[in-house]
Order: sequence, then C-alpha cells, then structure tokens
Amino acid sequence: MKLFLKTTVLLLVLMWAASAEAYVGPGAGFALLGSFFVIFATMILAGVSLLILPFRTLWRMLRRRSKAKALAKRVIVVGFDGQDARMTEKLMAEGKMPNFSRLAERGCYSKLQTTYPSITPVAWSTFATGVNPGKHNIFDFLDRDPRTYLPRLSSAHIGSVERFFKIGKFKIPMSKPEIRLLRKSKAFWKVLGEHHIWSTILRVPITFPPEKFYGAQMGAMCIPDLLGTQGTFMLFSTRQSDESFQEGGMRLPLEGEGDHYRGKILGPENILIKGDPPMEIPFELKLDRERKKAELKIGGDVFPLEQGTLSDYLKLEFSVVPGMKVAGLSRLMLTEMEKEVSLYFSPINIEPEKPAMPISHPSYYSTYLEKRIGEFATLGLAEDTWALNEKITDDRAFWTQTQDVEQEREEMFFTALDKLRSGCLVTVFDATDRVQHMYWRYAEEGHPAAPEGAEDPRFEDAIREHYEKNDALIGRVMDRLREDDVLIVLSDHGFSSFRRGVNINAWLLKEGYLHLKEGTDGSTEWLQDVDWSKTRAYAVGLVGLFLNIRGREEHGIVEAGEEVEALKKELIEKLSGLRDDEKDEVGINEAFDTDLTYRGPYKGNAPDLLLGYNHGYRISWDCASGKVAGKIFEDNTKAWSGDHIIDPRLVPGIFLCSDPVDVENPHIVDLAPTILNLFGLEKAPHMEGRGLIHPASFRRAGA
Amino acid sequence: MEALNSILRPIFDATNALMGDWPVWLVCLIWAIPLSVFALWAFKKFSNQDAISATKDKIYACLFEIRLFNDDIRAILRAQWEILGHVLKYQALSLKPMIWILPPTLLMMVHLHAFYGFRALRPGEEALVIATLKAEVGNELRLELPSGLTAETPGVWAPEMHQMAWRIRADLPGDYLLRFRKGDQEATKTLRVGGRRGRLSPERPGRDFVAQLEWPSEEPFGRASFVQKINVSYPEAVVSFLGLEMQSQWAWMILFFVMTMVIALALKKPMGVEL
Repeated sequence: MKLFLKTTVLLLVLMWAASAEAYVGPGAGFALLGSFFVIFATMILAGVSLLILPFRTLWRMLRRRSKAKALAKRVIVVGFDGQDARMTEKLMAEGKMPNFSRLAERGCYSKLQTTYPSITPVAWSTFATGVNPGKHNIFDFLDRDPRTYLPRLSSAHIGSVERFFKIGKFKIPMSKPEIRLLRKSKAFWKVLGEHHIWSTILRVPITFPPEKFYGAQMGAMCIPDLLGTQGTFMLFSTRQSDESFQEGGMRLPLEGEGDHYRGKILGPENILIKGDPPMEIPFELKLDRERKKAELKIGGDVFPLEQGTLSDYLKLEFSVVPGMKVAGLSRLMLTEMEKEVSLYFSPINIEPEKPAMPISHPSYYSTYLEKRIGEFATLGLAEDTWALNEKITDDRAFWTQTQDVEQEREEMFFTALDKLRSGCLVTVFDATDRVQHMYWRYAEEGHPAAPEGAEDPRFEDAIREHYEKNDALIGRVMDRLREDDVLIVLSDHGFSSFRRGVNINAWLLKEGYLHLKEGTDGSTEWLQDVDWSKTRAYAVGLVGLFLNIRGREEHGIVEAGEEVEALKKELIEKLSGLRDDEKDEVGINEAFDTDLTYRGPYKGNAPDLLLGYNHGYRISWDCASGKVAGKIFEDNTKAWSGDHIIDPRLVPGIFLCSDPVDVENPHIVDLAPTILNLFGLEKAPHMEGRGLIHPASFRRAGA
Repeated sequence: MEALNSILRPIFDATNALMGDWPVWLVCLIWAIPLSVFALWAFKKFSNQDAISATKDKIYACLFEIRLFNDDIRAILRAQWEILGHVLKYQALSLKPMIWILPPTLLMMVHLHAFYGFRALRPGEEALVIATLKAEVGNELRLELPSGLTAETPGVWAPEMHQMAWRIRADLPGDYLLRFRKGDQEATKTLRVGGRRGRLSPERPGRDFVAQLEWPSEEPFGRASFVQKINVSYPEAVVSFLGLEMQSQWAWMILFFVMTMVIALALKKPMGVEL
C-alpha cells in the first residue's frame, strides 16, 4: 500500500511536470526509452514467432517420424553424482530420507549397476548414450598420448591457433581454435530432438563443448577455467616458498608491507600479442587487521574481504587489446593476515554472461541462465577440491562453496522445470560426490586423513546432512510433479573410503615391468624418469594401466598378439587379490581385461587393464601424477578421503522412479532407452541397454 | 519561483552571452555535458542500482525465453506478460532518481528554451500580441507602442477568453517595452527585434506557478495587476545540424535530448551507473 501510494504520488508529480514541456534527463530518459524499446522489441519478436509458427509446425509435421503414444509428457531426471546405495538405503531405513521413501513406495527403488570403471565421466557418458565405453570412447578423466606418454584430457580436445597475421607486436588469428568433444555415439537427447521432443540438459558431465540438438544445454565436467586448465587456484602470499602444489594450484607473490600489499592476477595467455604473454590484472590489498577485514582494489573498484570467509563472485576482466576483454568469475578468501598475508583466488570460471568459449547450447543459453539466476560457476569441477587438499582453504570454505554451487544448480533446475511444458529435463547435482570425497574422513573412525581432534565437529555429519538435503530437493520436485510426469532419480556410482593409496607404477617397477632411466629415482612427475625401451607396462590416469605395445606406443616393446595376451594374463593373475601386507588386507580385488569388458570401435583407446580396488583403496596421489618412486601402499592423509574408483561391483548407484519398472537389477546403460520408450520411441539402434519400463505394462503409479 | 528565476536569469544570461552566436548544436553539447554528468550521478546516488540491474536481467531473460521457446506460444505470451511486469517495475525504480533529476533539468531546459526555442522579430515582420486579462475590460485597454513598432490592427476583444489581441509590425531593431494601460493602471511586456541571439520572452506570466516555471524570462505580474498574462508570438527558431535545418521551438530540445543520451551512454560505464 505504501509503495502504491508513493508510486501514485510520483506519477502525479511527473504527469504534472510534463506540462512544462521538458524532458526528464538522460538517466530517466534512458529508462523510459529503454522500456518502450523493450516492449516494442518484445512485440516484434512475438509477432515474428507467431508468423513463423505455422510454417514451423508444418515443417515439423512433414519431418515427423512415426512414434507410439508417449507414456509421459515430461520426463524429469535428477542425477546425484556419487550418491551411494548403501548410505541411501541406511538413511531411508532410519526415516531420514522420507521423500526418497515416498518415491520408492510410489514407484520403485533399486541399486543401479554402474560402468567399468565406476567413475563420473564414464558413467554419465553411458547414461547419455546408452552404450558401453567401448562405443562412447570415454574411459577415464585422463587419456595418454601414446607418442609422448603424457596425460591428456579424455573428453575434449582444445586446440590452438596455428596461423596468424602479424602486424608489429600484434597477431591476428586466421582461424578459431578447434574445440571438439571426444565422446562418441549419440546422446538420447539428440534422438529425442530428431523427433522434435525438447530436452533441457543441465550440467550433465561430458557435455563440453556442447552439441547442437533440439533443446538447451548447459555444459559441465571438463569445461575449463579461464586459464584453460581443469581448475587452477591462485595463492598470493608473502610467504616465500619454492614448493609447487601437487594439484591444480599456483603460488604467486604478494608484495608490500604494513597494511598495503600488491599482486597481479594471472589470466590466460594473450594470443593476440607476440610471445603470448599472460594477461594480468594488478590489484592492491589494504588490510584492517583489527577488524580482520580487507579491501581489494582493482582499478577503481573496491571489493570487501573478511578473513576466513569465502567472498561472493568477483568479476575479473582481462584486457586483450583495447576494447576487447575476457571475463571470469573468482571467489576469494583471505586465509591469513597476521605476520604473513595470504590471499586465495578460486579457479577463474568462464563468465556465463559472455563466455570466452562455447559452454552452452544455444550459445546464449548460459547468458539466459545468468540473467535468470545470477552469476554461477561454470567450471567443470566447480568445487575447488584441490585447494582444500593442499590445505589452502578449509572445510568451512569448501562447504560454503559446495552448497552455493548446489544452490545455483537448484535454481537452474527449477527455472527449467517451470518452463518445461513437455519434453525431458536432466540435471546432475555434483555436491554429493564432492562432499563425500572431502568429508569422508570425518565419518570414518580411524581414517588416516581424519583431523587430529575434532577440527570442526559440524562436519562429522556433513555427508548425512547432504543426503538429507538431496531428499528435501526430491520432495520439492515431487510437489511440482504433474499427472503425466515421470520422475527418475539416479546416481552414477556409489562411494567408499579412500584410506590407502596404491602406486601401481611402483608395483610395476618392483615386479620388473617398468624400468627407470639410469641415475633417476622415479620421483619426477608424468613418468619422465621411465626408460621406455625396457618398460612393458605403465599406469597413467586413475583407473588402470597400459601395456607398452609396439606400433601403438612411441617406444613400444611388447608385440601385439600373443605377447600382449600373455602379459595381460600374467598381470591379471598378479594384480587380482594383491595384498597390502601392512594392513593385512586385499588392495585390489580383480584386474579386468578391457578387451573382454568392452565392445565397440573405440575399445582400443581404453587402458589395457582396469583395476578393481577393494573398499578403502585407490590409486595413490603419486601414481596419479606419474611418480614411480615411493611405497606401493601408503596412507592417504589428504582431505580427499572418500572415493569410488574401485571395483564397480562394490559401488552401485541408486535408481528411483515415480512409476514401477519391469526389470530387475537395472544398469546405468538402461536409462537412455528407457527415456526414449517413455516418449513413445523405440530404443535407438546404437543403444545397448534395456528399456526398464515396457509400454505394454506401463501403468501410472497409483492407477 | 519568482525569487529562483531572478537568481537563475543572470546566470543563464551571462553564460549564454559568452556563447554569443555559436551554433545551437555546440551550445547544446556544452550544456548537455554537465547535465548528463549530474543526471548520471543522481541516478546512481538515488536509485536502487542492484534492483535496477536485477530487473533488467529479468527482462533480458524473458527476451531470451521468447527466442529459446519460439515453438511454444504459451511460453512466448508468458514471457511477454512477465516483461510487462518487469518494465513497470523498472519504471517504478527509475522514479526516485527522477525526482532529483527533474527539477534542475527542468529549470535548465526552460531557461535554455528562452534562448533557443524562438528567434527575435526581424524588421518588417509581424507578430501577434495577446493580453489575457482577469476580467472583462473591453475597450478600456490601450496598447502604447514605442517608436520602431507599429500597430497593424486595433485591439480585437475576444470576450470568451478575456483576451485582447493586436497585430504589430517591427520597423527597427531594438529591445522594446510594450505598455498596456487600463485607466491609471499599467502593465508592460518586453519585445525584441533583431540583434544578437538573446533571451526572449514569448510570455510574461501571472502568478500561476507552472506558468512562472515555464516562462522565466520576465517577472510575473503582481496579484493586483489587471493582466493575467501577455504573449508575443515570436517565430520559432531554426536549428541547423549536419546540414539539416529544422524550424521548431522544440528543435534544439531534440538535439539536446539526443546529445544528453549519447553523453550519458558514453559516461555510464566510466561512472559505474546502471541505467
């Protein structure tokens, strides 16, 4: 009422003033003109859409392929990355997840078999395409370049520009860098699109770069940060240290004294300038030690900081050339401000409003989401696990970051759900995976990474608390379900403890399958100490090992055929049941021959053997970074204390549906054909899974 | 208002005297700069910038939705409806800074209008002089013209409007004072013929606040005066810009409007203003 009165008075004042034949000044003039322009543009857009609509409808009818009657008008798929079946069942039994129980009672609940290996990029690629990894070509986070033995991203190829037109110190690129999705096969949303069924695909892993289809997509895992990496944080510090971070971080100097410090934020390389120097943004830091606060000054802008508190997003604009900028989003935390001063910058997310590279389909979809829900994280692995692992940030900051990202995702999801009249909506929520990775040490007694004393007792229940949040989310989704909706809830894999790391390369060295160059000790990263002329097997990536095969690897020595088969057999025999004598436990349950595990044209790109670790075991940090030196088994003392890259049989995911299903023991490969069936489509010919709901026996729950 | 105008008149007279016969577009540009800076500052200071930004984002989002869901009539209509709501909110958010921007803008505009909206009579040109009176006086009202001006017609009385009108002709350049007599009462009105560009007064207002605001060039008639207002029909000014000539009292204002908009657009980012 107060607002109405104020507005009325103001309107009267303005109407009266209009008689003075003056205008209201540029600011307000913009508001008026802008408003008229918006309304005009909207009407034009709507008019054009309406005019074109009959032709589009006719075109659709002409192109329409025959399909049976759809069982559902909307299929809503909620994915919780890494939600573990055992934990879910336990909490459901305890009544802590009432909405999951309600959904299970209404439709069904089951464990969901996962892929070999049980790892996010592989499992979600199988979910999307309905095929095994041998057909979709994603076997791990990392692949190796057989010419150099160096690791490379398995899901996307980000090329560089080779040809430039040079003018003085400037270089004008003659082409765009190639960005290519390495996942093969066809996702079910493309099949749906071919039948003109809309899909909104939000943050499903391995969707970068985005594909074109009838629908909208916001990319996820493997979207790089602005530096082009999978997430590099920056630590500006007055502390002198030559040590580099083992994972994803950079130390940068913070110069100054007293309460005033300076630094330079490192941006991407400027390919328009000769020598590709990195772009930089200088900043000043002014401390208020008494109040534990600080001000960060960039240009004329001042950004407030508080010690130990993760800031909001800070927009960083790097100047490429005058008039051209690339922007990113980072969150900051002043980690110390006593004698020494340290300032943390999270990896710089590609800004969704004006992304520096394609991160969504259509290209303006990320802009649309930014306008709708505000700034959000775009980095594939949006939660900075590395900074916590390196003890740069703390559990509280990580929790804040994870929950904020989850909130952004939820807003994205409900925005899309509200707009979806018919079609498919898929959203993957990652926080379950991240929370279990980083807080498992709180939940498991005797975990080597458990904090000494109760570091922050609040996190003892972090995992359970997060599962309950998932439950609440499902409750909100169920409240919005319409009569002809089908809701599917799934996870790509479960979770387990990561107490002991296994350095497979160290084991291969001990067993004589891997040899080091003379005078080296194997402590150099990325297998730089390995003597390839004598090495028969090596491990790169997280899930298995490769044989050094002649003709395939640059310096291969194992002959394809009988020798390879014999070596694989020998390794499988030795690795299956490999014991950790120190703990008197089995470290590896079984090694799997991928030639037998996978089917399809790309299985040759897979590691030759997959390793099915036991509960509590995983590849060690050293082995993952290509170090050969060290013990074969060692305690994991990092915050990253839970994991799932183990024997896939030990970590099934979950599957819930708002309608009963006809098949027992569903597998993640079954989801794509099931979704097609729900829209009245036959399983696509390339798909391998089974439809879990047979149209003939489909009955709506409660009917 | 009278006091305010008496303060502002010498200021605008002095500044415009400096600009002499400069082209109108240049004068508009010079005045547009401080006004734009002030308006941007006031807009930033007195508006809810976050709310404006958020509302604009919502409008953009709806526009994207129209494009995204262009197969879905309901989605398009819903987005349009939502846009309308957001536009109204955007307007409402702009009202508060408008209150601060409007008074100085208005004062500046009305004073500038006296210089650039009209031109002085040229020798040989005719103009209508209309006196609006408070009561019927009929033939009691006489117009006394100084030498250099000639009455072409006797006063014509329009009883319904309480107006007496004369057609006069300018013979010689100069600043004149027209005298209107009713018995022993007198009212005066300035009139300019030829000379450099200067302040003109197409109307000498009465006590009406809005009229005083609109016509600030002369002091208003007193409460006891028998005259409500006196108008002189000066020709509308001709404004040239980029080879185009436009004869309208509003021509300078259009130019001024465009220039303030362009300057504001150029300065909004450096000044960090969300419009």
